Amino acid sequence: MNLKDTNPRVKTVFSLSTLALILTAAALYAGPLNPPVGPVASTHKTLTEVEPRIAINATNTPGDADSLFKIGAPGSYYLTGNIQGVSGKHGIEIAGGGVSLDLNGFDMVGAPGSLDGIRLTLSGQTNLTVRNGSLRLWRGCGIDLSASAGNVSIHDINADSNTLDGIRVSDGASVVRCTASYNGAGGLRMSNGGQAEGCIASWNGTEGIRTGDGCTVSNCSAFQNASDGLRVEIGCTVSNCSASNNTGNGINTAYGCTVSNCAAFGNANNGILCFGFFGNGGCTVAHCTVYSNTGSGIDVNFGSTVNDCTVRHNILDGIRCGSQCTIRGNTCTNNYTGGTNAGIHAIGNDNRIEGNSCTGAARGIDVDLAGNIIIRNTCSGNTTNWDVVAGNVCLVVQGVTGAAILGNTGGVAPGSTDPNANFSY
Amino acid sequence: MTRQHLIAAFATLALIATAGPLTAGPLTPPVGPVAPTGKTTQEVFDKVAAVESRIAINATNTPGDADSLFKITVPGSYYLTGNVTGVVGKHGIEITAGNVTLDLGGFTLTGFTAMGNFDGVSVTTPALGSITVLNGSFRNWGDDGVDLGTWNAVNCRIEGVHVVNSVGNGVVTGFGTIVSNCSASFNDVSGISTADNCVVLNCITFYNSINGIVTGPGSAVSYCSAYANTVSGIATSLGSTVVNCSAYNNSGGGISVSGGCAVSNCTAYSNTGDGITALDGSTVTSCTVNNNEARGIGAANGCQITRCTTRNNALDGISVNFSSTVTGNTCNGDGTAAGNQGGIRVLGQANRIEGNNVTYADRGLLVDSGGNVIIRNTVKGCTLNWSIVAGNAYGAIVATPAGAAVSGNTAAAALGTTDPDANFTY
Repeated sequence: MNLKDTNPRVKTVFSLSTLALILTAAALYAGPLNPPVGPVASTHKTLTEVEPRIAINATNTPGDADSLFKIGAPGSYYLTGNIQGVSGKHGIEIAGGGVSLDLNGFDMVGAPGSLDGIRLTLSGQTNLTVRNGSLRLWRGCGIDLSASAGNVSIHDINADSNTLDGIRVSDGASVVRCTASYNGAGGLRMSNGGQAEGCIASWNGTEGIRTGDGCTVSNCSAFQNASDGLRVEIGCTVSNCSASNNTGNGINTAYGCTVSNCAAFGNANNGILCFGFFGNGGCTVAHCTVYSNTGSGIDVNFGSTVNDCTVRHNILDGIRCGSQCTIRGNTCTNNYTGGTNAGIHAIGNDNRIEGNSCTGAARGIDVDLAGNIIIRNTCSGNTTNWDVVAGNVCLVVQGVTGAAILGNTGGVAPGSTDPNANFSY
Repeated sequence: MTRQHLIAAFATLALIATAGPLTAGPLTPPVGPVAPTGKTTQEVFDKVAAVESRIAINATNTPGDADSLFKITVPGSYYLTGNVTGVVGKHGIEITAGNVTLDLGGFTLTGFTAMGNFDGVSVTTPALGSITVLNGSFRNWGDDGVDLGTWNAVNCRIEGVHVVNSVGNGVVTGFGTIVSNCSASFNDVSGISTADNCVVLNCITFYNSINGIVTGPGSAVSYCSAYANTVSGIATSLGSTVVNCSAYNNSGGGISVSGGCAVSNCTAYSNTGDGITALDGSTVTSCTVNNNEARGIGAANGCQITRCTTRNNALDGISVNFSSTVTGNTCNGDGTAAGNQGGIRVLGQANRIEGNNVTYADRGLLVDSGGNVIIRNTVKGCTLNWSIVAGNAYGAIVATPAGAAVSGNTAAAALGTTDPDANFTY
């Protein structure tokens, strides 16, 4: 075709068509010509991204001669199903620190001859967490992390019917919202510096909850255990707990402990027993209610303080103290089943017994040795209100009953104006 | 065609040829039949199953029966994948095995009133234990929201569960169960009802038709709130503790405990009955009890009421029967109802009333029986400051003289007596 001879209109159309073609070709350009750096990769989430934790199974955590599964590296692990134990093996063996194990709500069941449900076998490890599941019928413990060196957290676990302890942990462990019952030994056994919060221990073969030194136990219930409900060692704090119907003491502490806002009911020994040592001091028992225990209500020794407690219907003494104790502001009623049991019974010396109210016992206040000070107490309705041996500081006055009063003034001193007088009324 | 024309034509052709390779993708299809490159549904399911190993609640995994929509019969870990709507004559999820964890996944199980006496979650087999129900809601069930108690499943945990509008209770448990971080409201019986030796922690109950929280013996209730329930806000049995709780505007009592209980650091306000009722041998310490329509604190025998504050209760501020100690309390403006009411009222004998401050009540200290000791109390501004029958032992009741102003370091005594056991009207 000779464009020179062509009609100018045709020339124009030809040129525009060519230009449109070029522009169209340019528009077909799809994206940048420079691909992203690196190999070609998919854009969806990987399985690891969706569940970065490691499943407990024969591939990821193969067991060995004494374990069904074994965790040997730090990381976050989880169960993917129930575990049925076998003879001669732990359910899950942990052989390292920095491990978080989520039982994921599953049930780990022991078998005849099996070992522990979960066991730390490498001592000195730290940062271990086990949570959210149940362990039962293991022939050792439900969980035994006692080989740890600290920083252990056990929460939301049910451990029952294991041959040894339900849960056994080492120093500095935190056990929260767990139940432990029907275990052959203790329910929850902790070492030093631990914390138990919101736990229940029942029907265990020894203590419901037992701790080492310097622990805190709060908002817990311990009942029907075949020894003490709660037993704590030196320097512990027990608060807001209930201990009932245990075969031993309701709450049993070593020296240097504080027990407050607790209730001890129906235990076969003492309601609260704080065993002080001479030279190491005693305990503080405050604002507790101690009711219907077969032994004494509260039994304390060297250098203890018992204040503002209510003690009623215990078989032996209401409050029994050794030496160097302060017993102040307590209400002791009906601690009487015959014999010579007392509302308050001091068997040692150097005690200060002040401002208590004792009624309905064989003895109101009974002091066996000299060298105590007994002030501002009141006794009424006991078989013998006061039984105090010679050599104590004690003024007892028969309260003078007054005439009726209606208005703003009246009466006389209740038999004495001595500010430290004790009164019978 | 001239040379220029040829150059223009080749240039155009070159441009078109260059643009052609810039299009996306080869024109030659891969060898073999056409096949999808994405994951199959089964592959997706397999991947999900590998991640979520728990058992989903559904008709395949946990088929129901004549009285349940779904039924768990084997120990294990289960979870909901969606809301559940109840039907007539069936529980939502029935559990007949112990050692079960049921994660509701934040979903709601909804029943309706006419469905009959069926629960949202129900244990229907005796002698089970270690059942955990967590993280979900229940509404409108024909009986209880969660019932682990009828067959006394023991050592269970209920965590993060919320129940409204059940015909029965919100939550019912067996022995030794932990109920934490739950709420229960507008249920036709009680909000949370536990058997013996349970722990109830961080729970809220309101507008339930009987009690907000009721427990068996040996239980520990702490950091709970009970509001506007029809009977008691919190009621516990023998040997229990109630600590750091609040009971407000309940139609019965605020907090009611049986014998041998310890109540401390609680608040009972504006309840229709007593703020706190404590039976024999209980301890009430450091509580605040205001504006209740009956007594502030009503204690029976052998109780100790220490360092509490009562105010504007309609009947007595503090009332005790026999052998109790009432020490160091502050009672203000109690006894607003008709009749004789006391800031502190003593009904029986062998009580020790010491060191309390009672102001602006109907009767300040009202003692109806002989045989009590009353020392070191102060009373002011009551309709009748002291009303004590004959036969009690009490420190002299002395009307204090008005003291002179004091400015400086010393002043003469202005109490009217040096008797350490004197009671004062001021």
